[in-house]
Amino acid sequence: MRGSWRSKLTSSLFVLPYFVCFALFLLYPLASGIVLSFQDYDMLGSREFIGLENYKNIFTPGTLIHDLFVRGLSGTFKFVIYSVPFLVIVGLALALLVNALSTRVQGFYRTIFFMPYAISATVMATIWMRVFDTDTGFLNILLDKMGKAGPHIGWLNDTPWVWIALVFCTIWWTVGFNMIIFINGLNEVPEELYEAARLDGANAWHRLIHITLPSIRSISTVVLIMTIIASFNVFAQPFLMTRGGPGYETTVLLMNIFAVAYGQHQGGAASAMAIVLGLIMMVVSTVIYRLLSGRRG
Amino acid sequence: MRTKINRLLLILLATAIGVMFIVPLIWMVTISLKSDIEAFLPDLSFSRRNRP
Repeated sequence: MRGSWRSKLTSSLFVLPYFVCFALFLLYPLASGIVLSFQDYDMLGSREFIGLENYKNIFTPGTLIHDLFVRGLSGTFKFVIYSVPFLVIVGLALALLVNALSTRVQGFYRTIFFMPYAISATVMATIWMRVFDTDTGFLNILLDKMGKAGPHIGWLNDTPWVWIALVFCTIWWTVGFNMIIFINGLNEVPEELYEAARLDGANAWHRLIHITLPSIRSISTVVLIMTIIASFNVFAQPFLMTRGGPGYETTVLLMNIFAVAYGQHQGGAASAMAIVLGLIMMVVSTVIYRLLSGRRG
Repeated sequence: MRTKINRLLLILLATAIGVMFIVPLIWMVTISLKSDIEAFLPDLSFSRRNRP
């Protein structure tokens, strides 16, 4: 009995450092964000409890908070819809490509494809702003030299080009992470299945459809949900590269939350917007998880 | 023979995509170091207009 008590204490002590960090850096900010969403806070000092007023403003058409929320959410949804399929499919394609190479060169190509993920958002934005600039950008100069007639394409200030540019640089920047997770999933697929399929005369396409994809379904679900969450949290690319333009086309919700907090000095309303965004992300992730797990069952 | 050609094609494809991933990074590093390199090695100036 005494031994069991000691064992429990020892295991609890092992968990304690993680729990302290978890409580300090996750639970406390989350709880204070929730509390803040019920308050009128001017980001300077005075706080006043106002109940559900901030949430009411978000869902009342005609209010500034509602307009900023809806406009930002629309931009965020567009980004999620445009980027997530590419991030998942290109990540899987790169993983399949790297896995098909000989083991001697796999590490080299894995490093190359993963390298952009290691750089900061500002460096990524600086690189791609130089490429996509309308007048002096590398891409438009290249198109000119290739004989393209007519005015320059406004990659960062014209629709739909602005979305193509943002999605392209996001793929370049973050797809390496998805690729690494897919590679781990592919390495878990038993080699015997492929050998049996080869003996049965299955070609590469059949092996992909009937063995690889079903075997990595659970990993694919994780990658899909993580990518959706990451895309909902988009901020740096539009904030640094387009400033939300042209017009409000690429203004995403996090930019508006930032503007409400530090531009309008309404910390409580910004917190409420962030919490509603978090709830939307939870609902979308749960629905997708249920749909994919249901199909598996 | 066919397997070798397939492997070569895969390497070529991976290299082509890898170039797309690595060139922007190298380009950025080159631009950031351009003035330093030119200061030390004026004869290897990146810009033709700076040459006598």
